[in-house]
Amino acid sequence: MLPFKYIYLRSLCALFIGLIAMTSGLAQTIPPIGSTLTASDMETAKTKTQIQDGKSVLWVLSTGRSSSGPLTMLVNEQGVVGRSANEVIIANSPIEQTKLRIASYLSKTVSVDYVDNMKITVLRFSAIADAAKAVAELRTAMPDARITLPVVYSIPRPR
Amino acid sequence: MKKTVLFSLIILALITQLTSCSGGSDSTTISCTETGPYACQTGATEPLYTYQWALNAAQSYFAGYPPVADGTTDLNVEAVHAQGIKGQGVNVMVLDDGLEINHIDLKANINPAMTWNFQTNTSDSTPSGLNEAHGTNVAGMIAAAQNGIGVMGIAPRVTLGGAKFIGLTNGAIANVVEAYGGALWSKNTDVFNASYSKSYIVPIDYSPTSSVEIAAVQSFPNLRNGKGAVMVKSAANDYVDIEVKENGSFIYAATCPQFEYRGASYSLVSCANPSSDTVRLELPMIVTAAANAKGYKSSYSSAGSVVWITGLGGELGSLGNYGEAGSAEKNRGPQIYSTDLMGCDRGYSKYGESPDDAAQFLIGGSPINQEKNSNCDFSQMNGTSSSAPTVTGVVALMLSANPNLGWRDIRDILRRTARQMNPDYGNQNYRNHQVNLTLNPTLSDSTSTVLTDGATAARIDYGWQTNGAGNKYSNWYGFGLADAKAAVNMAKAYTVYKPTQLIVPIFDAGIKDSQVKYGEVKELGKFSVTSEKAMDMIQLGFQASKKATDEANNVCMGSVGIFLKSPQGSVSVLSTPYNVFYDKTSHAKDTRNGGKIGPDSIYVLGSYAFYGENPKGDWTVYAVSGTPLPTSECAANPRLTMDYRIYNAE
Repeated sequence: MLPFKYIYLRSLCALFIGLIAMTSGLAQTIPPIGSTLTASDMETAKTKTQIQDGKSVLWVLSTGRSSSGPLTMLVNEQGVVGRSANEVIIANSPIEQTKLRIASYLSKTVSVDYVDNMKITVLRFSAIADAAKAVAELRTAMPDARITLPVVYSIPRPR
Repeated sequence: MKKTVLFSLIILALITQLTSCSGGSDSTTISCTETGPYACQTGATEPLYTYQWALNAAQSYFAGYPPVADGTTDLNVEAVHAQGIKGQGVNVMVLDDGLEINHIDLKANINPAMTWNFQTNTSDSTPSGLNEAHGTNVAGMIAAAQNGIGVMGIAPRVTLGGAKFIGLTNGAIANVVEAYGGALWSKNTDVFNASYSKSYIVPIDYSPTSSVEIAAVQSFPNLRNGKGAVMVKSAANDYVDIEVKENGSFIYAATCPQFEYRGASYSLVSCANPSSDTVRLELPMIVTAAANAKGYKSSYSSAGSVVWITGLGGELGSLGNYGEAGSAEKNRGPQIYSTDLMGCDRGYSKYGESPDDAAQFLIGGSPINQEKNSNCDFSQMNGTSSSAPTVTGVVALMLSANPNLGWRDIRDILRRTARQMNPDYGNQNYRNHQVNLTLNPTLSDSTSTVLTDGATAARIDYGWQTNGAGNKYSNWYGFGLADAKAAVNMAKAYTVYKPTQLIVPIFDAGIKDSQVKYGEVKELGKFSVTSEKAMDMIQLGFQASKKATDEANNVCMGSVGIFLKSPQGSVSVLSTPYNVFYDKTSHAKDTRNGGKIGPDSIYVLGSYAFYGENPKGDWTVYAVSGTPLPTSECAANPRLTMDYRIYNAE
């Protein structure tokens, strides 16, 4: 019995069905998250829209929607492909305080979740650029909060 | 004579009854207030208990097989059970590939209000896949009931929740915030078990502060009405290699170099560093390594300086009737017995298993299976996936004994009561030899631990070390093997609670623009700390320095080991050279490039090796660098910039 050696037969293909309608020219060849672009593909990717998050830089490979909402495929500087749901997470901030700070962003969001017991607010934006802009601004406006623009580079598996 | 014998038997019976309520070998009498048919009894009431070596090694079936078990390595739980402390009042959440809610040995402990299935969006966490037995096995190690059936969990009266959280067949990514305490079904969790992780064959950017998982874990201190929850997480099974998968299917094994010495090869580095999954850098995350029944690191258990504790996971291959065949030296031995998906048509115990891969107990229809496991409701499982729930079980016992413990107290007690194991491992199998940094990959004859600037050889494993605060730490075992009896005793006596607020410090500037020299030990520089507060974790964040021109400055972190020396002289290996980023196979899909990092991403490492030390003074950072492979995409003479932050021990 080698459970962690066991080949996990769950296909992630369905995740990428939702990417078929993606708008970027790279959409038809977007590799799965966690894979690494070749050097030449990376050069192409670096001509696409750039997202700056703090000291890190990401490039947008494609934008679109999945069954659960907006979806942006990105690549980081190491060439690793990741996925963003255009979410901004505001943590370590009481919900009532957060509500006051995010009011001006709500028109650009598709949904907002308030998780009171964890002091977390999750904003989902239509566009990754709006999410990145909000992150930069909210970090200044809410210095005690922890504000993140999550990108998923790997799917967890049994270990 | 007969009267004497009768009298002796009565006295013996009385003593037996007394010890059953007094913590076994304890010299002091400890009362037991548990009620019910199994009150104050150990797991000896369960028919498969003899195979549960992690709960009682000495009386285990495997104690009769010295090549695979030493008969002493266990979690020391029986004295706790005999006190009637069995997890009562504690909520444990198993986030995994599902949890069979009607399992005969689990359902008594499952709270239906604490289960969820992200695949079906219902509260039935039972997985649909025939092989999705991982979570049900994990759950049994923690919470299998004491009922005269099958096995017994380490906390057999805990309240159990669980979710179908990973391996979703529709490819969706589960809602992490919901799972980590943000939903009605998860919000009352005291301890999360996370026997899963992400693996990477290239360095992953720590930012864009980049993970919803990190944000959720940093919010754990808000749970339990402000006392804070912890998550016990597996360190991963990537010591030898990382299995690379695509769309769920195995593609190739990303290997690491073996080190040649006198005609033989030795595995000296942990292929993957647990900190590669950056959520393991978070303090509420109790990163758990695995040990086998011989009291030695399991062959697969990933090692690194973010390991906090060791649990028991058994060995890679478990053969024979129950796992007694072979020897631990050959990576064989018993695993952790637990609950499995019910029925012989699914789970890990089922029809069609081969004796080349599985013990007879797991092979549906075999004579052993028919006798002991005829419906295939039970199994055994290895991995840090198993060691993590053994520690989760211990934490549940601690919280049962003292529900007032905060998340820092839990970590503190586990650390202080852990047992050092395998104390001489750093001198075994040539681990104490220096590695040649120019002659890839070979060992030298020298065993010196001195780090000399410009040297072309260095030790890359220091084994167990005692730091400046007197704490023993090892990259293999963290602070050591969990000890339930000692931990519960300390929990009961605990009265001065640590603050629960988690202050995440910002990174301070450390070293700017320091040149790495491949094939050498290079002192990158020093940074000075003024705080005198006892420290918890230190983290270092690296970036390739920006250059004035467009000249490439990629630093290949597969070749660069990062060693850190504290003002008190302790040394921690935060990463080794020749790790998984270094190597490259001939597989067409192996796109490894030497583990290069550039100026627009942050590569973060952490260490608990300095726990408790006064950090004031100068810290020295070394790059211990091998020579990159010709296929690597490394700039010549690259430069690194480094920031640091220190969490206080509180």
